[in-house]
Amino acid sequence: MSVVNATEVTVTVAAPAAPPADSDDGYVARKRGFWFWAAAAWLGFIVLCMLFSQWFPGLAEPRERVGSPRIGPGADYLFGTNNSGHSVFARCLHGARISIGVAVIATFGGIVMGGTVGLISGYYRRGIDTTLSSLVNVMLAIPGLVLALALVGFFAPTGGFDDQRFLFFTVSPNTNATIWATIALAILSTPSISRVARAQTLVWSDRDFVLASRTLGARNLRIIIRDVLPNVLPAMLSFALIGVAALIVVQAALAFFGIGDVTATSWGGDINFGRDRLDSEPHMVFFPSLFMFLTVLSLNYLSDKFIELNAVKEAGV
Amino acid sequence: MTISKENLSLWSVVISFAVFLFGWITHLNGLVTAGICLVLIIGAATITNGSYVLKRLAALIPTLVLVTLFAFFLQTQRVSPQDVAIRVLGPGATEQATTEFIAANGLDAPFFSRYLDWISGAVVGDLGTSFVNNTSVSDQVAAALPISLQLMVYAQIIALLLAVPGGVYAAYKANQRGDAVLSTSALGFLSVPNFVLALVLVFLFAAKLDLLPATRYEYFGESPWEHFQHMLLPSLALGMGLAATYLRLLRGDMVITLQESFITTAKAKGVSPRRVLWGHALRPSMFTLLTVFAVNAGALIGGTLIVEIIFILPGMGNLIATAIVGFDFLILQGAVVVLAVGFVLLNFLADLLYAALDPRIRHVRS
Repeated sequence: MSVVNATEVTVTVAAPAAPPADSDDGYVARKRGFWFWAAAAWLGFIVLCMLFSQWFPGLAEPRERVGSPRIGPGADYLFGTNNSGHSVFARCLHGARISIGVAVIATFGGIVMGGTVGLISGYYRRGIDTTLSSLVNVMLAIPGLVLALALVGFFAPTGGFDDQRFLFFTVSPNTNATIWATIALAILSTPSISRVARAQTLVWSDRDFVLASRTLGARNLRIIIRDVLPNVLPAMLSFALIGVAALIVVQAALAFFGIGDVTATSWGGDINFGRDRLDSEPHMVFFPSLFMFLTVLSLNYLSDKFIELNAVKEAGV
Repeated sequence: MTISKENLSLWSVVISFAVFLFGWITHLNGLVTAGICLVLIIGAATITNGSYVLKRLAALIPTLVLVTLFAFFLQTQRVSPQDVAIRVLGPGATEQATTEFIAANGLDAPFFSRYLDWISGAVVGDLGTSFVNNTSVSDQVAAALPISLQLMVYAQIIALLLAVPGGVYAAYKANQRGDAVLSTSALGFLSVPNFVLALVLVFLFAAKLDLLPATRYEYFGESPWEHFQHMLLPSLALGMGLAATYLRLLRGDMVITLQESFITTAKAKGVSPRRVLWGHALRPSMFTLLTVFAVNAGALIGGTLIVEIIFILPGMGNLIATAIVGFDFLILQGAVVVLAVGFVLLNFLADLLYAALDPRIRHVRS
């Protein structure tokens, strides 16, 4: 399922914490393999595009007119051109910045917020846990995309040309829309990440080395940061990979509702603009979709692999 | 199966499903039938195991209050009373006229009294009146909601039809070729955003092969055949991704079940593999699937909204999109509240059903 209110994945992530059940099949060699490196290579390429696409030699600008509109893919124009004669290939590479950047920053925000909430409620338990968990449950009570639509729809005004104030900065309306989309997606990913963090903290804070630290007189904050956090982090990070994948899709979905930054170069926006001519010029939709699909697939696959490798490590404890 | 106190909950679900179908075909008001179903199910569940259900129901109230409060807060933050007044009275409205309008409509009242005013209407089904085109929000939501619900039901049916046989087969052939093909393609489908899948389906089946219609909605009452034709592609676009999730879960659980000793016993007694899989192993493997069935509803709602936009179905997705583009924030607020409350209630019902299926849950949780 693609537009993920990431809770559904919580279950799949929580499962491997139990000892691997297929152990009496005999030991299955878990090596990284070709597809692992293929997925990693694709993600590396996408990250390069995200950071440096504007300095790639010979690559057209996203809004540079390279030929007449709607030329099919071929030798002259690798992926063809779009409605305005922009190069689809160039726009696919440049689009990584908004499509991936927003999702990555939002997931990072989600890890910071969700991790804090999860660690606190898992470590202190009792009243604090009950309060925080019920707040998290309220956030989970709103379907993911609906929450994003509500936040961005209400707070990110579409259109308008005047610069607006955002906290302490003055930004253009489009930047403002992107910032709000990022904030909305960060809020969106917080509750599910906090659930993962809480579940892991509950397990790890009962271990003997935590007791040892406490006996040595370490304060709670130190125990949380030095002893619990490093053990909770792997689960949160492998969850974050799926989180990024899910947020890429949600971010693109916002374009279909005409909110967020509609003028930016992003895969979702390009798919949305191209779909009117799906029957005659499918390449305008096909290539951004392919980029998005490969990226999401790589992230899902890597996350699967990390969980597998992690299961081995935990079984070895 | 006779009606007794133990299985009353299951019967209430069956009966309310019948009521729902009846109301749907005879075009009764959707909110009324949904209300009757809800009362039936909760009533029966309360009779069966009273305190558990009532406790859970009470625990629901703070969630519902916070969710509605949140939506109302967003709306009031975004829309200032002056904007509303000018939009209704026209751009040339005088200062005095706007002030009078604001006072007359109670727009200058404190936040909580406005919220109480609105929520007391919302409880009895009045979500307010849109200031943009002066229509009732409830009417618009009531017209859009059934279409989204139909789409979700069809998608779930398609997903289960694909995932259950697939998952059973993949678990049976675990780590062999058949499993590898199914599991890999499931991971693939999991990674296709459903709007991309929708566009691919439109391209293949509507644009190239010209087999199925790509857009427009057809009411079931007018022509059932056309209705299903129009709904097939959107439901497929939603159902395939769901099917992939279910398949992976079912496979995982079933692989574990197949290693239990009662399966070995059954095999040793000479029960055929087919009977072992479908008769012995499937039922105990379904529980994770059931929980995820409800949790996934959130993802499904999101998917429905987007797919509706692509296939131009007049459901909640298009209602929200039109509201956002037209600055119709009361409709946006109404749609968000209805979807969120519906999601909360759905999870609550799934919990009840789960308790009805597995009596251990009642005692553990209460």
